[in-house]
Amino acid sequence: MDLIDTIHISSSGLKVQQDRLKVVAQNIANSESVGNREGQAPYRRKTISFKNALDKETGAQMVQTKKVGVDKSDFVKKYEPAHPQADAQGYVLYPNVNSISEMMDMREARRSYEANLNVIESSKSMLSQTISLLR
Amino acid sequence: MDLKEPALNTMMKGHMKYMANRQKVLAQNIANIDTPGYKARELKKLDFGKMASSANSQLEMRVTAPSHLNGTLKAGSMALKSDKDRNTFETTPTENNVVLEDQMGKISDTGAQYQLSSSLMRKFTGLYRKAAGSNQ
Repeated sequence: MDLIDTIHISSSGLKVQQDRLKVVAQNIANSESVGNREGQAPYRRKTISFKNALDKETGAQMVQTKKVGVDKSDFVKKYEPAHPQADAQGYVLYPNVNSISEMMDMREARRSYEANLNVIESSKSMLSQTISLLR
Repeated sequence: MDLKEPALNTMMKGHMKYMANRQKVLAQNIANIDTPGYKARELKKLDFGKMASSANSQLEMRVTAPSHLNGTLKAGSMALKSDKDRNTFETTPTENNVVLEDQMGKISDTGAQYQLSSSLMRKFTGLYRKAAGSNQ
């Protein structure tokens, strides 16, 4: 039934936005994680991308996580000679995480999550109207 | 007019089916709001006049010989096919042209239209109930 399919589609949307939020949380939590040993690279920012996938059972275009990749941009270099991980010149490599863009990403994920929730809400009220025809 | 299935009932059913289908298409759009390269889809507008005339007059194909094939399209039903929406006004750099505000507006419109036909249907069945003598 179409309205039930709608709920499935929107829940696939909810799921990918959760995945996205998970990646954002990892990035923010690790925004200061330097390498463990000297010379080891710090945490690299993770990225996520989506793809649409045809659900063969319902013929609907669901959404899936395509890939959780890494951001290949340069690490941030800070001059901190007192830091235990500092190299010979006194520089420490920090992760390439920009907290402002992570915040924006988080907000966007939240908005998309809310949009999908609204669709579920609306489909649910349509369904309950149909059921109330029986009363 | 068929007594078992009055034309009004067929039309309201068709309308509700259309709205449920549209809800599904819009849900796909919203779920794919961050999918690169996804193009918004939309159902063809419901032609109420055409639906009314087909609900009244369309005949089903009938099997009169064993070698005949049964018609698959029932009288009063219509083919629902989603097409690319050409009226979106924004495309993101990732080639995705789903506009969230637009879609949310359509979703609430669909909900209201659905409510309209479901309450019409309820009134209509209420008439039958009255005729059948129940107190409701």
